[in-house]
Amino acid sequence: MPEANKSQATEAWRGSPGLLEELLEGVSESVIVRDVSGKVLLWNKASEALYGYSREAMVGRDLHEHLGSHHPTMRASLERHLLEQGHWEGELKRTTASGEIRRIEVRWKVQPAPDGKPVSIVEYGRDITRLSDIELESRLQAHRYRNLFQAMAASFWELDFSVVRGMLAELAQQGVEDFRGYFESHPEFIDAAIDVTRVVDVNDKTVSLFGAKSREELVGGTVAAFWPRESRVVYAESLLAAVRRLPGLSRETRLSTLDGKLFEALFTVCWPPGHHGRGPVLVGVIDFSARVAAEREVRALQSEFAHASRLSVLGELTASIAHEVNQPLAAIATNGAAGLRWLSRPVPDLDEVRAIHANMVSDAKRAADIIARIRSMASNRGSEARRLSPNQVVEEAVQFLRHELSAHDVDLRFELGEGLPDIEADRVQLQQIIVNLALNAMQEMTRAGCPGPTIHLRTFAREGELRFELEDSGPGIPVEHHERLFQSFFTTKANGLGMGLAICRNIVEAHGGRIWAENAASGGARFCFALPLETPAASP
Amino acid sequence: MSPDSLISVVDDDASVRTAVVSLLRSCGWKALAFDSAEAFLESGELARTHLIITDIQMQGMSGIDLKRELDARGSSVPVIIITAKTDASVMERAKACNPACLLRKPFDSEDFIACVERALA
Repeated sequence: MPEANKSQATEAWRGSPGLLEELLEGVSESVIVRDVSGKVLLWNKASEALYGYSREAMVGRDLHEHLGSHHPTMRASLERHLLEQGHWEGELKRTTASGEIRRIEVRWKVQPAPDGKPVSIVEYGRDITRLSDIELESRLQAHRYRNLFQAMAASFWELDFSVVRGMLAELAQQGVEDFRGYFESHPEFIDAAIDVTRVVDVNDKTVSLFGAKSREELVGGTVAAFWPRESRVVYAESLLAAVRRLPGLSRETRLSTLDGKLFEALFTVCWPPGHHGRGPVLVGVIDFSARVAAEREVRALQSEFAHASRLSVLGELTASIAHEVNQPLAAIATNGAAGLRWLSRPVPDLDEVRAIHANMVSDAKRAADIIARIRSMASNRGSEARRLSPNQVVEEAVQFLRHELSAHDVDLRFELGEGLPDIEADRVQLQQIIVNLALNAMQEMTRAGCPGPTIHLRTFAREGELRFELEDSGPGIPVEHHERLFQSFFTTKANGLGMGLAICRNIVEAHGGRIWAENAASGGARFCFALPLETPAASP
Repeated sequence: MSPDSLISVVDDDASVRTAVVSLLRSCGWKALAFDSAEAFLESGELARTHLIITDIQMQGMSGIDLKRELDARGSSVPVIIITAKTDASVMERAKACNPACLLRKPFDSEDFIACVERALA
């Protein structure tokens, strides 16, 4: 029916209260409407039969006062829950006109005014006094489940998988054993399964999260609109879990709202124990989009900081870099001049010229390599995990320091472990840490004026971690600095910003590792960081 | 210039060392190469050397240290200092030790040859 016609019909129906009365008189369930203070507004025939009070006796009276055998405090708490959640269902003991106590199963639903304030409460009641204990217990369970289902802040769905189960059974009959392989090669099977996965019920959170106007818009339909193509592999996984009779499955994925907006979600499906292929399946959806967006932002910020810190390290190395580039340039210029002279001789010495040219080519390459190294260090790009040889990372990092080390007369000693496994990490960021730690060590040793400054660089594997250690022969770290060493804006340098070590820690932690400092037995400072050898799948 | 003049080149950067020696030889001078000041001093070639061309920053003894050592030994062999260093303080210290010439790498080859000729004259 088109929307306009529908609302006209609704108006016409609302205009005939007689019809409503008649409907209510006809139902066998007790229907009672009360206002928020508890005064009865409507009392149907079935209510008269159940409680023994006539409509005339009840309308305008307080419902709970007349029927309630429960303590007022308990009633108040139920009412509070009702007004918060909009509905409540459960079991009450009530006293009839003849003084008999009966167990009544009630469902309450708040009717809001257009402004959202509650106006009245509709109650449906059934006498369950004569039900067996087992039935009562199972009803109680059902009520608990229903109340929870509605009250949860997560989106809950009850889905009817029965047709899909039939499809799976048919596959099994056809001899399909490798369901995973079958789903991969027959994506249309998954599409078809999604198209026949029916929605039995959803809670209010589902309605708002998936952008529906009401529960009715979703119930009875299929889940197809909510599963974007990219996420159907997760649906396939939940079918696999069903085939393998796993109790449930939980996956991060992206789902779609009714208007096609994708969001990051934690999807959980669970098959209650003892559930043998019948009855609805319970699915929970938690909206992760805010968390995922925040994580993305943190990662971007972290890589910005890392970049800023790299630039500042390069800034400290400017003189070194200029020196390093000037060497091959000087060699090239001098070789060029020498070559011209060998050529200008009465008998040009071509052997000399040939040797000179070979040198010029390799010097030019050397200069280009230095520039490339600096460019990668200066570039601002996101973190990128690659398989790396730890020792190679150390050796490349030292390239940045060679000149600085010799300028400070620092003796660099390597103790690099042999046969170390590769690690999964961002090359530039790891080099940045090593360069940063080495520069700090050099500056501390110079400041303290220690004789025979030495840095030991070690790599080794221990307890599932790849350990990097940088030990200097300086004065060590004062005890009072240990705590704050890796905090932002902590510095002992006159011109330091105090971000270097904080950013080192950021980088290491983003790689799932840890960083710390200690004093070596020799008295010098030792900075260590360890990266897990089995890095988690998430990128740093 | 005397064709017998022997020039000793001291630089720990192999490329620069080789290039400088090649340029000197292309001009007809004889040149010896050393990768450190210590190696030069220990070689005993100082006695035959008419001119020393040295880098400043090297592992161990620096070019400035070498010049001071020669002064201390009473040697009058002229010293040309070439450096890739750019900071002013290093240049000041180098100038203070009174070299025959102080050139910044990369240097102009004509300037360099003029320096060598003057120092050997």
